[in-house]
Amino acid sequence: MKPRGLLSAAMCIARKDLREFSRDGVGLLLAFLLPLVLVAVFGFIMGRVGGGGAPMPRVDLALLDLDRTEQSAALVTALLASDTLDVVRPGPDSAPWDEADVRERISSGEDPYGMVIPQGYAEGADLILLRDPGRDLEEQLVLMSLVGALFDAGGEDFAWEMSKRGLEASGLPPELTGRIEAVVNGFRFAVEAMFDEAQANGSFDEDAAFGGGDGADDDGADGDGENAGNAGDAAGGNAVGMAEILQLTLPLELVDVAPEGRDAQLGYQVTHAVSGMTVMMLLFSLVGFGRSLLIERDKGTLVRLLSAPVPKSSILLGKLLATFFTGLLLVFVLFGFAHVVFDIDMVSRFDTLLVLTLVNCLACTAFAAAIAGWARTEKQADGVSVLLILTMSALGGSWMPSMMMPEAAQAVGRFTLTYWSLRGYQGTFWYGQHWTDPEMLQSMGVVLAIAVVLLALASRLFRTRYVRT
Amino acid sequence: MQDAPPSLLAVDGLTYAYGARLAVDHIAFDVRRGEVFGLLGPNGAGKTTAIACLSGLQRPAGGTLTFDGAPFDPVERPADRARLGLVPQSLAVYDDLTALENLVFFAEMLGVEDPREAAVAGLALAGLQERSRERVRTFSGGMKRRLNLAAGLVHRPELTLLDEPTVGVDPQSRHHIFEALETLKAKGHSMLYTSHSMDEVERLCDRVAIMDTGRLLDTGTPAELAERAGLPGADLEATFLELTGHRLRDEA
Repeated sequence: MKPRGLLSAAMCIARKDLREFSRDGVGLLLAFLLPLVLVAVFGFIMGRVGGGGAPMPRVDLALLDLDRTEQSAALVTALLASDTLDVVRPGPDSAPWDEADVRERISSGEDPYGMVIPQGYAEGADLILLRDPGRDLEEQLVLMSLVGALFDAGGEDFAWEMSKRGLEASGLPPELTGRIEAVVNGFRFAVEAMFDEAQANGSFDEDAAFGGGDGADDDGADGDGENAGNAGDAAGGNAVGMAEILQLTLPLELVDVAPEGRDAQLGYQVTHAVSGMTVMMLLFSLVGFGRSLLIERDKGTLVRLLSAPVPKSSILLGKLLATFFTGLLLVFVLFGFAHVVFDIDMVSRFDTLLVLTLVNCLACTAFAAAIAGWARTEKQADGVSVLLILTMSALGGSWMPSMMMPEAAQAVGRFTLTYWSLRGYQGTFWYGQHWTDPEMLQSMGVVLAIAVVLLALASRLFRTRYVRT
Repeated sequence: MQDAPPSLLAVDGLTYAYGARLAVDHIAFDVRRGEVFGLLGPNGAGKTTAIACLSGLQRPAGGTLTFDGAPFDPVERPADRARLGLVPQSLAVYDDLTALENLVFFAEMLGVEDPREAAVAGLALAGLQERSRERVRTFSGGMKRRLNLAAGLVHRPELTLLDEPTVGVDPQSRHHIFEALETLKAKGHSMLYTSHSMDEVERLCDRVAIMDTGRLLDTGTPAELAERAGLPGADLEATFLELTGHRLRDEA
């Protein structure tokens, strides 16, 4: 008989744990299928929201045209053509609406926004935009679409009307506004005459006009990894985004900058969703796996292991090894899936991904071991792990990018393991950073420090709560 | 008069406390080579704690242990733990592994050079050769109990500590376990045996120690204990009740 050493005994326990794990077919399927489904669902949802070649989300707008003029019909047509609005109108067989009906649709939650084109719109009456004040997230989309539709329907008249209103809003008295309008109209007619003349002699390039060409400057690419993109495409479903309009009217050059090699169709939100869900599911899966220590204790098998002629620390080490290996497998299955489904490049960044994943799995394994060490029952382990993982995921940015959160939440989020793990993965997938880059070293350093602290805690808890000599 | 066999494990002044409560209070006894020694006591007497101290699971607060004449420290020295086999009261086997995998794993952990060969021998001891490749989850309580026994003996220890190894088993499994233990005894295997079943202890054990509230009340053969308790010729149960009283002991 030859007593085993630390590593040999640990490997023996790790092999046994993995064999046990592989025997629970349904559990095994869920352990890998659930993260895959979540990554797929979040990647798909965030892909739609965040661009990456996918269409923009659409907002319902109940529309009532009381004016029934050529001008109002043009606005209705332009709104119907919007990529971001689903215009809702009474069906051919239903009773016609009045303004109260539109208000009722919004107050009852059927539609978040409504628009009434009042009688007299053609003569200058204001449009009425009805909104549910709680649905402000969609407001920017609605307003952007409305501006686009008004430009489409009203053309230059709308532009001049906007200018006039701007002057009035700036506090000019009505008589001065009238005088300015006369001057502007004179200027406008002169400009129109020049356009007509240019069109007549063939020197007017219609393709170069608003919305007719690329908004971004293609000369922005250079050898330092800056690529000029097509800003018109980047704007998602809108032909011209707000930035593109500003570029055309202000002394502004719009340049898309992306690391070399990034897929132009890849969306920030997709890489974020995949990374975020992966980190969160890694924590959940490994905590589940780490509970095997609790199960061993409750079942009585831990007594056998502790009385075996092996170093007692080999028991914890064996559990850590099995958990760590499962984590590695899970991450690479998830990223492999994302590589195939979402075109997230895993192959060319494999070395960085490997180093990063080794560090992250170590930290998540340590987290799982600390939970198992602390908890006195499986119920306690379940409760505290759900609480901690969901909180860390929310604050650390697994669900939505940290930049979209309030500053206080962002500040607190920096104290979470999730934040730094995610920062590393986004650094790789989105910014194309190598693991030797200072930002990556910083992220990995923080994760490693967390891992060391948690491992020390787990080891102490194991000695005091499990070995108890 | 025949000389007593030499002492294998000698316990002197063993003490363990849970906080202020002494669970094991300066007990002293020895287990001789080739002997089956019974440790009896009502619930809460300190039997399981004493076994935990002997097997290295808990560090005694006081006392000395000697194994085969040499100092014995199973808490600190893995090699000392290797000399012992432990059959705990709980069914300490893995439900998702097969019987063979369980025994191979424990044999590996116990440092056996040919774990598979030892596991096959263990299966024979437990009468589970036919079910060796089935998962333990599908086993009856009695089969698990037999496997539990085999797992504690798979490395052929010099002394086996058996903590109520027949709790909750059907008569057939109990009979099988007893046959296995009697075979081992016949081969000169040393055992320390705890049980609530006086019949089992009388049938199997050469000498008995009776514990209560952490203290050792008496040690000897069942006949010696009865004699000293003033009940010559009485069975072990009567002696036990005379020594420990009739008060109910409900463990928390």
